[in-house]
Amino acid sequence: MKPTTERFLTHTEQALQNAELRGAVQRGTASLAQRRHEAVTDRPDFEELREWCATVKAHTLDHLDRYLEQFIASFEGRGGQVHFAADHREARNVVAELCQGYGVRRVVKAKSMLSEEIGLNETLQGIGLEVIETDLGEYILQLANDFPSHIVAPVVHKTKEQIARLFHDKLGTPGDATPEVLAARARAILREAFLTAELGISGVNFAIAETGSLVLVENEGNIRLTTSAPRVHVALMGLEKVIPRLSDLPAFLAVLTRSATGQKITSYVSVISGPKRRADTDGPEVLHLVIVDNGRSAVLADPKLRDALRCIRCGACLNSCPVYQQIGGHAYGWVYPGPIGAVLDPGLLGLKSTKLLPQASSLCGACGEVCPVKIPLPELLIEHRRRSVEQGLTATGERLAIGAFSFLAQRPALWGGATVLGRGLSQLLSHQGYLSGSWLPALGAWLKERDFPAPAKRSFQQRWREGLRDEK
Amino acid sequence: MTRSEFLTRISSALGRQPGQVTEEPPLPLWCPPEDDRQELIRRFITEHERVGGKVYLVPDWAAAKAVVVRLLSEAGASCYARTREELLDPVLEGLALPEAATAAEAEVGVSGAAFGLAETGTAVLSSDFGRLATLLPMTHVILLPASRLVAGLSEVLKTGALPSAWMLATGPSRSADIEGALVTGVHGPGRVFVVLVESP
Repeated sequence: MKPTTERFLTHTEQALQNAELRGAVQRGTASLAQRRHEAVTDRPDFEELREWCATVKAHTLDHLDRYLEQFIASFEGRGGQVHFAADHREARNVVAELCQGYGVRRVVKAKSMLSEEIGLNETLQGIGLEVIETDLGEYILQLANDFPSHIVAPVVHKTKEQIARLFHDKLGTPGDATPEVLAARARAILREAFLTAELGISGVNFAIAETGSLVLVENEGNIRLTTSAPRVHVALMGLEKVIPRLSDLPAFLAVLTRSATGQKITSYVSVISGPKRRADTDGPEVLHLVIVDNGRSAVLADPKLRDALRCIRCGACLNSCPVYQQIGGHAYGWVYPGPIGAVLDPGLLGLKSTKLLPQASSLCGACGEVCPVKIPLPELLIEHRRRSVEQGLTATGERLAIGAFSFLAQRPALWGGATVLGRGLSQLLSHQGYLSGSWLPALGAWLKERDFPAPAKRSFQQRWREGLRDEK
Repeated sequence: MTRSEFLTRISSALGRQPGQVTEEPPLPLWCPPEDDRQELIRRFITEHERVGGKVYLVPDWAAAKAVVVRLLSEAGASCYARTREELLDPVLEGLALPEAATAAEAEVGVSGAAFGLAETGTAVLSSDFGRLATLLPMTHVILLPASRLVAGLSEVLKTGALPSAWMLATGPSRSADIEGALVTGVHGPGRVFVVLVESP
């Protein structure tokens, strides 16, 4: 997917004017956040689990070379084939070559954010393949020629009325069809796809170093079908997905499903250890895994940002974020939105084109509180802001204003004079006790959105000198 | 990119030589085993039914067979699919219904679970006995001997057994992708019944 993170402000303005989108996103995130809260409260040792998962993930990343090597050896030992991709181009070329090598015409896909990241569908369609998204949300998006706006609930930005109209136009269901009717229609169409596709593409939730197993978490069954029905299974994973041992899995599953959808466990969890065996009656004959870097090793090399690679893609930080709740995921302009996007996207794409994302936060800290692997999201947002300043990426006006403030704040006499002057000027802008001045350059935009009380006519220090100290 | 280029990239990101000796991971969380069978049964039923499945607790295999026959008839099935688990043989023996040629044609799939997880009401299915019969039919009937109930996933993984796929199934297939509305039977079975058999 081509990033449009530079147009964040335009996107945001559009999103804020779209009442349908805002309503859908607010209802969706509120419901997911509420379910997470209930599921977490239900598990008294959740804090302990979180702490432990954070420690194990941090440890794994600190020793990722060793764990990846161990994982690759175990995975190959079970008959899987591994491919390596330095960037998005290599990743999609590897998959395209596999498809061509197997003479594939029809591909079914389970949900994978990484496949969005590398722009896989366009590449495969470009070589004449039929590519069918099978997750219900992703299928809706494919019909609408749209892309996911949330890591877990990809179509959270659409209302059920919009989806019913889309199905009516594209598939001929009644214009007011219920979600049940829509899902049944999708089931019938996609069932045919599963049974005729020659190759299935999935993502990976966890890769177990010890056993070479791939773990996939879902509710619909489309991942199980994608990884069972076609002759070839190709899995895509970012290099950070490894966990050391099979015995680590239950704790990670427990925090992932509770944080993502508030479930104790999802309807299905698959632990895949190699392709179909000789005695098996079904399952894929071949299993390929593409391990993708695409900017991740640079994030790994950054001692501060490395923590962001702990992310297990639960989406809890999106649901908890007051900014995401208002603007939805598309505004961020890339695959990973919300607080984790604002931290990860600058790491993967560079700060220059993504510098506005870390500013899209009130630093309220909610994201850090819900993160199941305790990524210090607020601290990392501030870190990106700090680097923006260091690298001279902030706006000229902002730089000048902060420079002037810093100059004055270090000189008490000048500061005193400036405040007297400032108070005088602010009286001119004062209107019914509030500052008004939307016509002002720079400050105007800020004042337009906020009610800022006008300063008192006389300062506290002035009043103190004039006898306040003697008043009882 | 080759494997060694890829791994060297990661080692250098971490600032060391490939293969350098490093520390061990933190100890796995210890999960206390739960041995009281009645408590496991009670929790399995509660958890499985909480997510929309239905559990029939029966004393023996004759009673299990009666439940399976009734479920097949209630589903209006003209044929059924099954996994290769041997424990299904006596239950499905002498049925009036034919076995489907492929799982895709069957209205009902009958399987046996390798384990039942009390903590989450989960049936643990093994690819050793087939995958699609547990996935394609709209109704899924799972036979689970109570002796195969364990507290949680840790105990399954501890056995060291790893088929080409462990498939953990907990209740019906579901989706909330359309404005959070819960829909069942999206791709997998929409109706799930567990026949929990108390006698060995």
